[in-house]
Amino acid sequence: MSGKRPGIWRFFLLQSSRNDRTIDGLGFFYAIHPYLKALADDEGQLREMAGRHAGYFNANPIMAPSIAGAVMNLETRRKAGEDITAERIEGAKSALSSALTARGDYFFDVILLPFALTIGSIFAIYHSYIGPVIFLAIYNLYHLQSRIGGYGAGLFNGEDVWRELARTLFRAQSYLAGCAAFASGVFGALVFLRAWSFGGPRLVIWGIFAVAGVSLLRLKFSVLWTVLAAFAATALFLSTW
Amino acid sequence: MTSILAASILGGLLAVEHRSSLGLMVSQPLVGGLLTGILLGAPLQGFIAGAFFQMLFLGHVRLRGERSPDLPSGGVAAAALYILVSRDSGGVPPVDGDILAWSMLIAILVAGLGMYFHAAWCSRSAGLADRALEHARGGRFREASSIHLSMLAVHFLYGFAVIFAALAAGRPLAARAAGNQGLIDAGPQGLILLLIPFVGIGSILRIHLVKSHAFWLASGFLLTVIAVMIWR
Repeated sequence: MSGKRPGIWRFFLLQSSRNDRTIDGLGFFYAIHPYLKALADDEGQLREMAGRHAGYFNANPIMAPSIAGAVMNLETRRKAGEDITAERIEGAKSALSSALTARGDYFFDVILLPFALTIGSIFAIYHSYIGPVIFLAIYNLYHLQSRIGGYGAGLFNGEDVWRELARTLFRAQSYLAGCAAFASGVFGALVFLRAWSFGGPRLVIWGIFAVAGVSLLRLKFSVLWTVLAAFAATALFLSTW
Repeated sequence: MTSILAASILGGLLAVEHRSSLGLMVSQPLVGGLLTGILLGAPLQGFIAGAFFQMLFLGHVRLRGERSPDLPSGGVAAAALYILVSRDSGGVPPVDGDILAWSMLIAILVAGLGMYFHAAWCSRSAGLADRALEHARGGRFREASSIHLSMLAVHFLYGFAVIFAALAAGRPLAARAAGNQGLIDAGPQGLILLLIPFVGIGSILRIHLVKSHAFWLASGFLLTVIAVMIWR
């Protein structure tokens, strides 16, 4: 099984044609087309495989190379004569998309991104340029590892790629979640201490109301309306200063 | 005009980075603001505007299928407006609260506009994607790829146009509004920068106010308070 990656960069353009019907189906086909072409013996075989893979695809874009690798593993084994049906390949693609997307969305969007942004923000409140650098380094350490290494992992492990990811990438999840919560605590403390030293108890009391207000508003309203309301309240408060 | 064009091109490029799933996160306002600042010759002002705009949305998590504010264009708009309006009015560096407040308000609206544009685009472009997939199934791979890649141009053009419009219209608007006492009075210089992070804390608590995170959240808070007390 060849580990060659003729177009790994294509996975970085996966969502260019995102739409409400086939989601990233066109992007997924665009990404795996070179692999299918390398595998097919002739134009007819390529068209048959294209017919099966040009359709619906909805997955976390960072997990997509792992899914594509698993699909190519099955396609390669099918071509080699193993009893692997087209339905099994489609089923594996669909199952891996659901499972890895659930884990990937949580890992990257709920834990890693807010964590990296919180660290960046801690430096930003002191106007330090190192904030963006640390943010990019933390996020891309995991992001690029999954994107670039994902295809190889999928190709090597096939349908069991999720096991490999659980053993490597997702193992860091609980550790990073703790770090993210700790960083948020540090950020919160620094913001309150700065408010106290510059504006005294009045600013801190306003801060407590702002934090509580935003948390409550987010239960009912979208982030945009919450931010607008918080911003209006901030402006009102400042005008009374 | 050159500054507006430069910021608009950056807006277009960051829109491509964000929408194509390149995913390097250079389009996040924390970084985008700094890049805008470097481009317009005022890195600190750009960084401050971008970073504090980011803090407004610190705890925002993109949920699958949910419409999400277009933070990259908002970040560029906040930074570019803040720099250009400060420059026009001879604002006092590094922070002029009134100008920053108006720049952020316009940037929030830009982020909201992007959210609705992309929702509409995802709905409208389904037909085009279907046609491309038909090409792929029919063996016309070059046509399918061309349609997929051409959509990058849409993202670039949207990013370019929205920043251009926001700066062309928002620059005089923000300058006039910031000079008009009583609309938003940002108080003493820099005070707004003490208040904005509270919004970020409020939204990030949504993620961490769960049983498994609470211990670490409280530890981070208390240890920092103790460390600062000892340091002082």
